[in-house]
Amino acid sequence: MIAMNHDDREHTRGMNCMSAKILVVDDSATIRHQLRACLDSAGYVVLEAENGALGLERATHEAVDLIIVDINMPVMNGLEMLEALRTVPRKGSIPAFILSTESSKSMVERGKKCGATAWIVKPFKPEILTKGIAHVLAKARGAA
Amino acid sequence: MVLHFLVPEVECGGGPGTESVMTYVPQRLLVEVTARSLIELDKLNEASSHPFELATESTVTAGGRWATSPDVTAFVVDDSVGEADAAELFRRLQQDGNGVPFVYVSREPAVLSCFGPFLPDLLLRPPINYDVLIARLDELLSAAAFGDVMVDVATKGIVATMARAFIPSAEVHMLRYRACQRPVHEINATIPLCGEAISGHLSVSAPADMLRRLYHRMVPRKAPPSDRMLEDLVGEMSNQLLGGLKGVLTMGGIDFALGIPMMYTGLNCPVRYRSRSGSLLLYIRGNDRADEVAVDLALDSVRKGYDESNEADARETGELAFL
Repeated sequence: MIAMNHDDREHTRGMNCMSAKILVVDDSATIRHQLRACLDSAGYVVLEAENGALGLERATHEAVDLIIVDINMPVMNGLEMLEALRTVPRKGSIPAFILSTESSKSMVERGKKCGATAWIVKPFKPEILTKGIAHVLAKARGAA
Repeated sequence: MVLHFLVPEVECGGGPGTESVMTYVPQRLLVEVTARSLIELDKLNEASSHPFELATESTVTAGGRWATSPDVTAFVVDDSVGEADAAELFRRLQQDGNGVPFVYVSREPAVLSCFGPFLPDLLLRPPINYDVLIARLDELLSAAAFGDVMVDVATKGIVATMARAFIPSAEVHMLRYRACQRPVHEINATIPLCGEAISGHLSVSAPADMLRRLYHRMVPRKAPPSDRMLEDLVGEMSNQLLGGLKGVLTMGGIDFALGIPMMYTGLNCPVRYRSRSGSLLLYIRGNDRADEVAVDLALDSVRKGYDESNEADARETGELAFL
């Protein structure tokens, strides 16, 4: 588990001056609103999609720095979306967090195969989520 | 179609001085839909009891003809007919059938999403002999699922998630069993669960006023929620509570897939799921007594006991794991 202290929060805020864009893909409006509130206050720009197909479309056509995606959704689930996104030129390396009620080892393994970066079991803790995002974005920018 | 008539029961009526009457007792009928049976029918003679007649159909079209038959006790459909065809038959039975159990036999770990939003009543993996099938069906049809351990584990999983995600300091203030599946409050979400060792439904209902307060606590700066948002909130609540239950049951060796929440609004509206069991009804409250949610858990089948030895593998909700 990741704990967060005052310095971490400052670090997170500093990171977000670059206004990273985060795509939130979840069929529940409640979760999208919760995530938007959490990510807005951390300084990120938030895009939303309500299923995997719409998420894939947004991620394909817009500049996205990180994706937070649920698994069980109508039309296209989150794992299918990530699998499809990995085949899109220049989009294959977008970090993706899976945020789901699913927690079984077999499902986590599937997530890993689909290229997910991290896994969070709902309900999420905002401070842990934002710290994880800051960590991954910093790493991605360092690599770039 | 192949019909196997299994040990018809015969009652002999009458007594001394009266004419003896032979009465045929109708047996229960099992419709098996398969292109290549995964049930070890060749071992029928070794089965300890033969309470069913068996009708075997090789296509879902033929199987579907039994949809409205009052004689059918259960449909047993396997993946040799194709997952998509099995799902199509399942949907047809949902619409036209008499609500008899649908048993899906799958050689591979089944994804089950093609069946959505409802799920099969029972999921079996081969090899299945007839004794196992009969035992599972009997269990499904009699549904004596709620032992003390299951009640403890279910309560623990549900209340812990409720406290983490929705109502701080949530606790059960009343618990009872009931036969009725009507929602206690006016906004309800019902979500099916199905696995090799368990099947059933979890149903969550809450009053609209309480949900508005809850939404404002969760998303403080947002505009007042619409009725649709309140339904979404209850749907998400059912999803997360069932996820929490799945978390603790998986630790005990009982895994299952979650279906998609179905929404019902209005007091006393009938909830469209069938259950052969009584259900466990938990009234959960926080410090504010007005914050009350009713969670109704109906389990139609629990094949094995909860194994507490695996609890160390627990993953906390909210924890972030890098892959």
